[in-house]
Amino acid sequence: MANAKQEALELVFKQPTFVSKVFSQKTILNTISVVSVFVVWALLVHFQVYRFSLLPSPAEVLEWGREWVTTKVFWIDTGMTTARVLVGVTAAYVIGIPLGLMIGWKKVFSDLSFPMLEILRPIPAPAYLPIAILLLPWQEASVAFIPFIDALFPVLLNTIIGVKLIDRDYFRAAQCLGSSPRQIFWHVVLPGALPSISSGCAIGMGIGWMGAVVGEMITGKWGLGYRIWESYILLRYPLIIDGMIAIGILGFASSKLIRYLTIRLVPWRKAITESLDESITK
Amino acid sequence: MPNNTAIYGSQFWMQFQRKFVNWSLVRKILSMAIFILFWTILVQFIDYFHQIPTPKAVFLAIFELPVPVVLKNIGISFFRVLGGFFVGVLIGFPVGVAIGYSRILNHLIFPSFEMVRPIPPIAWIPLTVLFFINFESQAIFLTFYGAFFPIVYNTMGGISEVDICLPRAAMSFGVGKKLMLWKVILPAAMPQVFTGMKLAMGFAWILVVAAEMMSNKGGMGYYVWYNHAVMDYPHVVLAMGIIGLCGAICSVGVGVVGNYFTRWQRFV
Amino acid sequence: MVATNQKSEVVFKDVAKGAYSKKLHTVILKDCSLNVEAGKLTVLIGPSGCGKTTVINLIAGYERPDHGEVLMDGQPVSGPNWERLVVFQETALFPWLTCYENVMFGPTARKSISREEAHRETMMLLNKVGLSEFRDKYPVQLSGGMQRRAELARALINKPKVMLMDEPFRGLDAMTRKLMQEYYLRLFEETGCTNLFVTSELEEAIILADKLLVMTNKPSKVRKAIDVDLPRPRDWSIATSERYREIKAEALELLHAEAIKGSVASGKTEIDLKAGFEKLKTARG
Repeated sequence: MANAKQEALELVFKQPTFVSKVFSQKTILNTISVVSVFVVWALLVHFQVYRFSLLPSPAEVLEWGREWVTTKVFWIDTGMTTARVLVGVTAAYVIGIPLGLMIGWKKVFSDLSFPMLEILRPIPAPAYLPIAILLLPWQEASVAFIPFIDALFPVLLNTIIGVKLIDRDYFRAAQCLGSSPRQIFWHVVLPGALPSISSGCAIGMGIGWMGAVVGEMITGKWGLGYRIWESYILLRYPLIIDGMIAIGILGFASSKLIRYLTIRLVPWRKAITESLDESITK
Repeated sequence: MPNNTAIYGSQFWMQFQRKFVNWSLVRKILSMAIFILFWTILVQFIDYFHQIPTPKAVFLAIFELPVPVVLKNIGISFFRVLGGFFVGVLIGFPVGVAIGYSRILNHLIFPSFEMVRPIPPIAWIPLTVLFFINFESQAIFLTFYGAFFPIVYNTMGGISEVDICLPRAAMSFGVGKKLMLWKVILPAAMPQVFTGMKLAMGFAWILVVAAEMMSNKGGMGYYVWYNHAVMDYPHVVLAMGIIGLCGAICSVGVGVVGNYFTRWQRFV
Repeated sequence: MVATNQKSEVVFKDVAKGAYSKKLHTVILKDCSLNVEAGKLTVLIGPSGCGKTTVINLIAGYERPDHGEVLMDGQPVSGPNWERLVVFQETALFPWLTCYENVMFGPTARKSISREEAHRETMMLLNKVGLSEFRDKYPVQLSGGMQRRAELARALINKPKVMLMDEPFRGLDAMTRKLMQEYYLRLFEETGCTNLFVTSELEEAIILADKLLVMTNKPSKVRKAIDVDLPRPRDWSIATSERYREIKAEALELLHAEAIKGSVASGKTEIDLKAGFEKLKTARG
């Protein structure tokens, strides 16, 4: 009797049905959560609570957005912002990762570069804008400097932490097996730090978008950030929100893409990458 | 005999080195010197960089600094950053605890946060201008918004990563659900909560500078942009340094408070 | 002293327990019946990953059985309680409290006794486990052995009826481990409360046990209960006795058989594991 009961019990647990999955507490609550944002927004606008009367309703935003997407301006703006983010963030990767690896690995490098970095790090990226304009006088390029600065420090610090967290025994094992410093770099330092580097890259990408928007709002003539600012000045409020949504989607997608690519590079420590992410990102 | 003293001499020198010469420090100072030298050479000899102020010019600018104006601007920026930060802590921390501790609240609130979070805080500036009439409240809202998500996410993460053994042990000792939060969950999550606060402080400074650069309501961001507009570049660099220093002071402040709350971690 | 007069027993009746995740469902315990006798030290031994920790969690009340009953003194276990205290595998001392505060935690959380009394008992227990000098140190500042002793003190101050030890000496170095075992033996012989000790090391099991429960692979149940009728008080000198060797050989055979089943199930090896097992069998006759 007992056995039969247990077998039945196992079977029940083995197959969660489609219906139970869809109507689980979690999915229901999640749906409520997402839908309620729009509902509350629409209601606040509709009943003109406080200054919400100034805000466009979700329907308006959708309508303007649909139109905006078909215009050429939208695609130029999107391309412009994306290009800046990509240039800036890639530059941050190219400089940040090797520098971080060397700083984390060799004490000499860390001594030589850390004081400077510690001085430069607390300066918020927008404050670099005047210098960026001096260095890269053509306006559209100078904006790319902000995502670069924004992304550089997360990438650099994550790389350094990644190297520092490598177990000392790996280095000793590699030395015992007769590795040259160069082999140690390629076979211990780089792969060992990869999980941390990958999360640094994802964070850098996320913050890079913020940097590009800041730069464009302050001194751009093109780009999604500038378009938001222009819509504000021209009182085209629905476009402001459309611009925010467009940036949000692009930033989210690019972060996810980087994470996906880098996790493929480090299949052996997926779990750790994810947990590190959560502790280091916002 | 002379041979001996030579050996003795070299040994003495080695011991002297080991005791009194901190090579790490020497290298650190050296690196600063090289940096300043490199900067000077770059500006002096390469035409492309001629507009950038030399270190000497920046140094001399210190003496021309309009101290009362700068102090006032620093005060304004500090007020905005700290105001937003504290509101962020006051709201973000309980929210983080709630969605970290209660699964239902997590399912109910977290997805909408995930939906809003990818929008860079800066992009909210036009909307904040619609909502808040005076600039102070706009700036404080922005710094609050920048600080909010790092605090919420880290508090939540810290709580969800508490080792299951700890609440289990406490449960066995007869700790109820309400006391559990105070006695076990929160102390265990503290280190990560403060990691979040440090990040939040960084974001608050980025946002305050950006917001001030875009308006003319004072603050260090405005001071930088003003000097850029009148092409007084030594002062731009100096102001950048001052902002960096302010940011570092705030971050150290959070660190000190954090160390107090996580003093057991000092021994790890 | 800290001994309780009332002695409790724990009984498992046809317990079944599964682990259910999105993709993998496993049955950990099935038809598991066992008996932790009152005032005795019962040792649970079995191949790694056979669900020994699940047994502990079920008794402690952290998990519920899917089928069957877990009874303590005839009453079903309904949830965690200070009558059944666990000493965890990895240390579960609260890292933000000092050694002293950790031991004080139970009584102050429940307010069962006055603060002065709690203080007196804490100091007495810390003295007993040799940690009175380290009372104001945080757990991270203590060595592995000290952490385990602090944890023992933290449990004992609550006067539990049943102590559940979940591989508590795992990860200690060999010498410390031996010392801790003797230490634990003294403590048990002094308090005489019901103990369930989970381990995967046979020598440790025999030296401690009144009764040895050998578990099978998953889905696991008790394969055999061996009475360890070695005289008490014990110490490591007992390892040379004839009876010790007999018990060890018997248990080893059982364990070896389970281990081979497990390794055959989880992957092939080129080394013939069966050979040693056969030799052992023939040697015993």
